[in-house]
Parts: sequence; structure tokens; C-alpha cells
Amino acid sequence: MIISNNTVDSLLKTHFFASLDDDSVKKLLACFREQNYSKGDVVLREGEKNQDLFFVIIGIAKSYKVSPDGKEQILSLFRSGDAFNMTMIIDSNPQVYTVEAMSPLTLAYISRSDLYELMNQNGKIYEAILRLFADQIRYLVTLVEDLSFRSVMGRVAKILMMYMSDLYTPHMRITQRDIAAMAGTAREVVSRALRALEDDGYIVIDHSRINITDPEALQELIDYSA
Amino acid sequence: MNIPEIDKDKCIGCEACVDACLRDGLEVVDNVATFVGEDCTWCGNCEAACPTGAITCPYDVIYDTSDECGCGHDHDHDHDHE
Ligand code: SF4
Ligand code: SF4
Repeated sequence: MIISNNTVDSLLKTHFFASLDDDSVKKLLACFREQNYSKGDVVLREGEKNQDLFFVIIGIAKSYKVSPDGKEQILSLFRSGDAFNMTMIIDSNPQVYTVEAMSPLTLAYISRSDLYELMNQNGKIYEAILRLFADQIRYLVTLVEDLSFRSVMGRVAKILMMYMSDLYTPHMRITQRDIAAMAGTAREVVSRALRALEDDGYIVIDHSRINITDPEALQELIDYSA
Repeated sequence: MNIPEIDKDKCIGCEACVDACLRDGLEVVDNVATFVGEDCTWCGNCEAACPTGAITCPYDVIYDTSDECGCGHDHDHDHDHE
């Protein structure tokens, strides 16, 4: 096996592996490789072709697209256990988004050809792959819903909550630019939204720290902003 | 005090951040933006001005239940919340 024990443990904890029998797990693990990235490294670039399926082991990565005028829209954040680049399983069209490390990052990956071979031998692996697709479709529908229906303040609040629950990833900090790219808006608008959230008593901004003073109230705001 | 993070590889030494900082906190030294000020308000003007994303003011987002007023400081002291 070419991956570390820690990576094996992380992979076994994912939903993908949890549904598989011991034999498929063993065969799959034997095909995985792992790679480390530094913060800011590009893992996949839009327009290029990459035929590996990736799982995040340690750290956070973002997938994003850039508009013609240079505005970044973050599509997803991938954390430990999340998979990406599933579409490569279906066809070999170019990447539709760029994936970049937002922190030091360890990824495990398996090539399309190895995966195909194992999928053909075992229907359970097919099902596990389909579940990954279902998760992703569900997530993207939620993103469309947020961008279409939720107010900017609600979106910013939701992003803060996402980051707040992430206390265990000490490397992860967020800039107003990141929030803007996730909320699909301009940085100035995020700045105003943060100030409004502070004025309304949901958060306290102390220099480089955003303290969520009342998560329940913030969650209510998110729920009502849809 | 935290200071903005500067990615030396991304910085092109254009001085946009230097001009944007109202506290005169930044200078370009050897072609790279460098924090030289005494205080930084984390206003984010430098981040907004930078054309390459080299300088950033990232936040920690936390929920600290031990911190009643949410200010991030100990409680046996006087301070204002700006
Ligand atoms: S955050 Fe504001 S005060 Fe601090 S260095 Fe940047 S522009 Fe200057
Ligand atoms: S604005 Fe950005 S690129 Fe220009 S000097 Fe400042 S940090 Fe460097």
C-alpha cells in the first residue's frame, strides 16, 4: 500500500467506503495514492483534463470559477472526507472548475482506469459512486437556492456559521474576499453586511476575530432570510 | 496584534496597498509589501486595493462561550469596543 495509515483511517471513515464490503475496500485502498499541497496550490485547473477521483484527507480546498471580469465564485469547500472530480468518471471532458488548496492539504486519489476496473467487478462500488453524485447534486441545488433567494446578509451569516462550526481546523481563516466569492457578491457588500450583523448584535468583530455571540439568533436569521 | 498576511510570491510591489492604508502601515521593501506600522485596524483597505490577492486580512470565526461580551479580551480590564 502506498498511502499512510492515517490516510487509510480517513478514507475508511467516509460515506463512500462505509457502504463497501471488506474485499472491495481492500482492492480500492491498494489503488489509492496520496499527495500533499501547500496553501494556494492549484490541484485542478478549469479547462484541463484530469482523470483522478480525489478525497480530502487533511485540510480544506475550494472549487471555483472566475467570471470574464475576474470575479471569483466559490462553488464548494471540500473538507476532510469530501470527494471531488466525480464527473471524470462519466466522461473525459475538461474540468469545469478550478480546485485550490485553502490550507496545507493532503489528498488521496484513485485513477479513472483503476476505479472503472473495480466498478465493473463490484456493483456496490457503482452504488457508492452514485451516492457521491447525489450528494453533489443536492449541494449544488442548495447553492442555487441560496444565490437566488437568500439575502446577502443571510448568505454572509450562513458562511460565518459554516466556518464557526469548523473550530477543529485551526489553519482555516476567512477573508472578506473569500466570503464575497462564496456569497456571489462584492467585497464592499460583505463589509457592509458584517457591519450590519455587528450592529444588530449577532457578532462582535474584534480586530481579526469575528465572535459569533449568539449562534441561535444567527441561525434564525439564516432561516428567515430564505 | 495581528498584521495582514503577505504572500511574497504573489506580490508585484505595485504599492496599491501602501496608498490604501490610512495608518501608513505598509511600505514596499525590496519589491515586496512589508508591514512597518505600529497599529493595524484590520480595515481591509489593503486587501481591497491589492490587484493580485497578495495581501489579506483573514478572520478567525469563533463562538467563545467563555467570553461573555464577545470582545475577545479578558474581563478584568477596561476597554472600549470601538
Ligand atoms: S488592514 Fe487597514 S490598517 Fe491594516 S495594513 Fe491593511 S490598510 Fe493598513
Ligand atoms: S497591493 Fe498587493 S501586489 Fe501591490 S504591493 Fe501591495 S501586496 Fe504587493
